Amino acid sequence: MDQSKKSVAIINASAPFSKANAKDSLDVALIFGSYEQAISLYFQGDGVYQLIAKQQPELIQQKDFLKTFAALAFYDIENIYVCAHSLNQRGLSGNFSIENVQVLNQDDFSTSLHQHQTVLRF
Amino acid sequence: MSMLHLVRTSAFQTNDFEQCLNVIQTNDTIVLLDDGCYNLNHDLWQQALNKIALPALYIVEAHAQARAINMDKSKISILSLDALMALICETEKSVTWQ
Repeated sequence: MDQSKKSVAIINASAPFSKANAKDSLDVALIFGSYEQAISLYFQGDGVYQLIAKQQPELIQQKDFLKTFAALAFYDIENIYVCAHSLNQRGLSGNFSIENVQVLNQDDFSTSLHQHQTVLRF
Repeated sequence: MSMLHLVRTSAFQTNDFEQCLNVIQTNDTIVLLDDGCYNLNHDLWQQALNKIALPALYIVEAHAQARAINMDKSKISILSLDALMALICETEKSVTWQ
């Protein structure tokens, strides 16, 4: 396949604070963004907790890396998808810390993910 | 003799909390901390409420607030970090589910 048409997806499947996965994933996304490589972010399972508004990491002595989500637009990372099923399971409404998030049902989530040649999961 | 159960993982991700619920007894105490705080909004929490009285079901306040989790006092009692330390020190038997 033509290099220029390859695209990368990242599946975020971890809650934000107990493991480093969420922060590592965001770092990778920003690096891809810096090189103008097309990248899409998917949030599934406990990963959906990363996007919830009004979290206060400073209460547990963590740096607020979640604020960095607001910078994604500057890196032209605009394809951000959240699994509706995962939100429903957790009793979460779509109260996200950033705008421009698309909530997809399972079929659409799957279809969208399948458009990428490379998938990384954190 | 009662036991203190420290639940540190999300039941949406692992089955640690489910295993905890399989061994709890009426006089035990459960504390939700770290990612365990997410279990307050899991269907399994009702099983904890059915078996253990509300004053012995705790969530660590700072850990829940950090995660923007609403602490509904009809479902859980709130524990400060200082109170958690005291609880651990005065308990003879404890299990950490992680």
